[in-house]
Amino acid sequence: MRVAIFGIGNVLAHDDAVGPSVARLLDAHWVFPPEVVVEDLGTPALELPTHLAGYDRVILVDAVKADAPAGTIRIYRRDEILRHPPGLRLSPHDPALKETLMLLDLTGEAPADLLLVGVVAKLTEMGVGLSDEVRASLRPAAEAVVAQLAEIGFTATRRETPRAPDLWWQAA
Amino acid sequence: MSQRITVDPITRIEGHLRIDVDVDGGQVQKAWASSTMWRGIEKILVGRDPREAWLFTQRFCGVCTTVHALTSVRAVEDALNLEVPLNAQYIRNVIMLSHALHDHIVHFYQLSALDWVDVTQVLKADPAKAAAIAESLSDWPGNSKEQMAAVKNKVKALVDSGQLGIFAHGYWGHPAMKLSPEVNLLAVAHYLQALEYQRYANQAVAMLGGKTPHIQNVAVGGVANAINLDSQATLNVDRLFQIKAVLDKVIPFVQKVYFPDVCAIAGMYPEWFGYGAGVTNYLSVPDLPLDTKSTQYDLPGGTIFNGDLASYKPIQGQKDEYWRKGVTESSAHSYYKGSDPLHPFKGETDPDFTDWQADGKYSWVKSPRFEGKPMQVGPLANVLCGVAAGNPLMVKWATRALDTISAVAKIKATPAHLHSTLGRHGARAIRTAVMSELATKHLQLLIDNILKGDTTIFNPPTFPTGTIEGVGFHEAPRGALSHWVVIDNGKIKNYQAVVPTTWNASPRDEKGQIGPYEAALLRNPVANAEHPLEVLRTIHSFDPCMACAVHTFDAEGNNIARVKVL
Repeated sequence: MRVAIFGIGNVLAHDDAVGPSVARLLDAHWVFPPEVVVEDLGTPALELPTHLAGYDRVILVDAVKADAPAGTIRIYRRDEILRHPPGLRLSPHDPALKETLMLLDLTGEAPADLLLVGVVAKLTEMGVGLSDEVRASLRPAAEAVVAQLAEIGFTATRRETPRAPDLWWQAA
Repeated sequence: MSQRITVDPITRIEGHLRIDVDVDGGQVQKAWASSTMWRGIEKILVGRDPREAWLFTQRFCGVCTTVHALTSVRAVEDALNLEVPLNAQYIRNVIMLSHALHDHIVHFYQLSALDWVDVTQVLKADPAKAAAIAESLSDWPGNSKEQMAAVKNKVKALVDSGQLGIFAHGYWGHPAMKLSPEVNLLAVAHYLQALEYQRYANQAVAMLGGKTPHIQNVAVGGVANAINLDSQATLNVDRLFQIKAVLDKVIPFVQKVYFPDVCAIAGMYPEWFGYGAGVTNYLSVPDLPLDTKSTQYDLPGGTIFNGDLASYKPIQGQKDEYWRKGVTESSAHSYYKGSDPLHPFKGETDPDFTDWQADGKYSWVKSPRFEGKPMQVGPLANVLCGVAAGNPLMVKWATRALDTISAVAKIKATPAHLHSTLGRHGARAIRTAVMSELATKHLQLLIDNILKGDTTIFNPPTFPTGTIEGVGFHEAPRGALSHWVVIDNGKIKNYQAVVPTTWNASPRDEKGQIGPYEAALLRNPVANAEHPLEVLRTIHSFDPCMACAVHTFDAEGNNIARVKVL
C-alpha cells in the first residue's frame, strides 16, 4: 500500500500556507514508515491529478472556507468533497480538488480513499505569514494527520530531536 | 433591448476573472474584463536577496510556476550582466519546452475542448466511423475501432449512472455545438489519452528540475544540475537518455493527435474564424537562448501592429531599447493609486479599491501597453511573429495547419483567419508542434555540449554597491512574461512582474482603449444569455490564468462561477 500526505497551498497567500506549513512540520517532528510520502506540493493546480494517481490512500492538508471560526480543523471525506456538482469555470485554471477526483475516477486512478484535513482560513490575500488563529492550529492539524494515518494502520513516531521546519518564505 | 450578463466567480472566493458583457440583438456590444483579487506579490519581494527571488516568484501562481522561476533569474542576471553557461541555457530551454508541451496539451483537452465538443453526443456515435475519421487525419495507433468503442462504453456508463462526474458542468445540447457524434467521440477519446501523455512532458521537467510544481534546480548564474558523466548521482548520459525517452513518447502525441485534432475541429466551426479577433497588435519575445550572453535566440519575437505581418519589428533581446523602453502600465481603470502610465522599473502597487464601476475603476489587473498600444500576447502572437520573421519551423507547421483547416472546412484558410477565437487555438497547436521538434533539438545540443567536455553549470553572481536594473523575459505558454527588478546594494528595491494575462485581460487604459479580452468579445454571438457558451469560447481561447493564488476548497459547495443576467 502506498500512502501520501500532501500539504497544498500558496505560501505567499497568508493562511493558504497552512498546508505546506503542516507538511513541513510533520517532516520536521515525526518519522514516517517507508510506505508513507510526506510532501509540500505547493500549488499543483493542473498537476494535482498526476500527483494523486497511483496512491492507495491520500491525506491532504489545505486551507478551507467554512462557516466556522478561523483555525477550526475540519476533516472532509471523499464523499463530502464530491457531494456538490462542479461549477462552471470561467478561468479554466481554477484548480479544484473535486474535479481532480472526478478525473481520476474517470481514468480509474483515484485513490481508494482520500481525506482532507482542512483548516478554516482567516486571511487569503497575498502576503506572508499565518494569522494567529491558523498558526495556533498548526500542531493540532499535524496531530490530526498523524491520528488519521494511525486509523489506516500506519504509525508515525515523534523524532527524539525535532528539527525546526523549513518555512523559508517567512525569513526576511 | 440591451441585456447585461455577468459571469462572476462566486463572491466568497476572493479573486479570479469576471466578465461583464452587454448583449443586444444576439451580439456582444460592450465588454469588461476584470479580476477581483489584489496581486500584491511584488511587495513581498522588496528588501529580499535577489538570488532568492525566483523561489518566491514561482509560488505566485499554481499554473505557471516554472516560467516565473526562469524569468526571475534572467532578470537578475540581466541586471548583473552575468553570463549563463551553455549547459545551463540548454537545461533551462529543455525545461521550458517540456513545460510548454505539458501546458498546451492540458489547455486544449482538459480546459477548453469541451467548449466545442459535446460529450453527450458520443452515445450516438458509430465507433467504426470515428476510427475511420481518425485514420484520415493521422496514423496514431490509439485510434482503433475497439478503442473508440471502449470510450463510448465508458461515457455510456457515466450517463447511465446519472452522474456525469467531471463532465457535469458542460453546456450539453447547446445550439452552438455542431460536431458530428463521431468527431465528438474521437475528441473524448483523445481527451482521455491526453491525461496520460501530458504527464510524460511533465516528467521531463521533473527529471531536470528536481520536482514539479516548483522546480529546484535554477540559480542566478546558472543551474544546480551537477554534470559528471561518471557519476550516477548527477546528470549523466543515462539520465539524459531517460529524458529523451519520455520526450519521445509525448512528441508523437503532439504531432499526430493534438495538432490534427485542433485543425480538424477548427475546420468544422469555420464561422469562428470570424469572431474574436479583438486587438490585432501582437507582442512576443524571443526565447531559447543559444549563447551565454543571451544575444542569439532559437525562436524570434517582436511586435506586429494592426494585424499587418509586414509591420513586424523584431525584439533582439532583453537589452534591446525598443523592448526595454516600450512597456508601460496604466492604473486609470485599475484599483491602484495613480493613473499616469508608469514604466515597470518605476511601477507602483498601492491599492485604491472602489466598487466595480463600468466607467471608473473595475479591475485589480493593470493595463500594460507597448508604445501606448494595447497588445495581444500568447501563442498567436508568437506564431505570427515567427512566420513574419520567416522562422522555418513556424512557417512549416503554420502552413500544415492552414492546409488541414482548408481541406476540412473547404475554404482557403490564410494567416488572416488566425486573427480570431479559433486562430488562437490553431496557433497554440502550431506552436506546440514547433516546440515538440525543438525539445529534441535542445536536448541534443545539451548532450553534444557535455560530450565536448564542458561541465560548467554556474557563474557565481556578485552584487555591486549602488543601484542596478534588470529585465528578464520569457515566451511562456500564455505569452510574453517579463520581470523587472531594481536592486540597491544587493537587495531588491522594486520588483514588477508583467504577466501574459495582464496584457490580455487588461482593463481600459487612461485613453479609454479596451484590452484584448474586451475587444475580442465585441460582436461575439450569444444565443442564450443564461448559457453564454460563446463568451466562454472566446475567453478560454486566450488560456486565461487568473487564479494565481487562492484555491481554497469551499465546504459550503458554492460553485466556482455563476452567470447573472440583468
